[in-house]
Amino acid sequence: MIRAFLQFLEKYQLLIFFLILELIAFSLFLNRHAYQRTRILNSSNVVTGFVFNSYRNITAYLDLKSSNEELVAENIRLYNAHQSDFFQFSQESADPNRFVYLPARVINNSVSHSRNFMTLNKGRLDGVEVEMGVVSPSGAVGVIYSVSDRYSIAISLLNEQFRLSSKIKRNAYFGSLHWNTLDARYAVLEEIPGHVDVQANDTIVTSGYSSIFPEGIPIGLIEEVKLNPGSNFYQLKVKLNPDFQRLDYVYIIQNRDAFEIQTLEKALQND
Amino acid sequence: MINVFLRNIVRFFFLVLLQVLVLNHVHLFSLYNPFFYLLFIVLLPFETNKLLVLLLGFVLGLSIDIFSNTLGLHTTATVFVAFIRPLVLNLLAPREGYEPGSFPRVHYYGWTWFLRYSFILTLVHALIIYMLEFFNIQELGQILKHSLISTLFTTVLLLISQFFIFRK
Repeated sequence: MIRAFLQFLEKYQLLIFFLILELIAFSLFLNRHAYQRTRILNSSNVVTGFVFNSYRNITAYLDLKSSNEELVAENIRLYNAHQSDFFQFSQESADPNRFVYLPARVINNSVSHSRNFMTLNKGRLDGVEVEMGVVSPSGAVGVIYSVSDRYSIAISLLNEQFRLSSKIKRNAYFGSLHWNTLDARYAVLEEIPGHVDVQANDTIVTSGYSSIFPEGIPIGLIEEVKLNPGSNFYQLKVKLNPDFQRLDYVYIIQNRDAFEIQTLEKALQND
Repeated sequence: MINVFLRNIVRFFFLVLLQVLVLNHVHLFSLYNPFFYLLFIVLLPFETNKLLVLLLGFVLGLSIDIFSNTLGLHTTATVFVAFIRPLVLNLLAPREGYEPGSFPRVHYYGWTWFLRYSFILTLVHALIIYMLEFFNIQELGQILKHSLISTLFTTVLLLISQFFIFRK
């Protein structure tokens, strides 16, 4: 009996070994969400973080021109916004210094999967925590997902599991932005009721309803207006502002009131 | 013998780094990624132990996955390719079999043979990748389209790679 079993094992050892490896691989795939948070199996571990960071340092000068142009454009925008926006801001009840910006660089980034992530060169020791927002000079790009001591991983806006509360800047109607196109240039804005006046080229910005992003961070422009068949809601194709294939400098946004807001909202859910 | 062993180890690290640092950021029509790292499996010597090929496929896929935050995706596909490689080699074997001391390269078996061989492996690999990526049978058209374009892209790179192997 045992001999027969051993003979069986020997005869089919290749197939058995293949099935075992494939089973491990596939269960890693099905549970990737849980495993990737453990840091050993993602791109923020010591080895992978080091490799990406070294490579980034070597090649950084190649992007200098476009990075500089983007930063200059942002400076001009801030400069122009300074007078009008800043005063309004401080008159509101919320503390204008509620959001703290931490500069970081994208050292690895993907755009071609259905669930994309980016690795940043700042980690827990720099004050990064899970659930902080990530914006590039041209708009919102993701949310911190996992943190190691010196690196962190953000879930990209180009991830089918990610939803971003956003609104039409012109009339303040808000909806939920999500990405399902496998095309790094476009996302879809949903949940805007059909009676609202929506036009192509309307600007989409963050709504500020989550504690992650401040209000008014650019996201993109409406490219195509379509009513969702069967329901009275729009399905708006949004051309994203940031060029996800060339992300470099970003800011990680810490909301000093995040804990307070979340506690308050949790209390509501518990009622 | 040791020479072959060492060459393959160096090739492993070189291809993993090339894939995750450079090729992961190269997109044809901003959508399609080449999976050039498969060259490692393609070039393994004919007489490599089949169990070892499987294990190497697993380690290769897992390395790519950890760097690309795509846990399990490349591992599943690469292990499968490692499994079918001996079958494909049998299928394409010349009548007198593979010569001892030769390697699966253009230099020994010609362009047509190498094109068929690498195309089959690449196509199977891409099909699995995109089946997992979309994970929805209704997207069959998309899966086939992505797989085909990515396969052509990868195969062209694999063919080009043959110009850069000078050693006999």
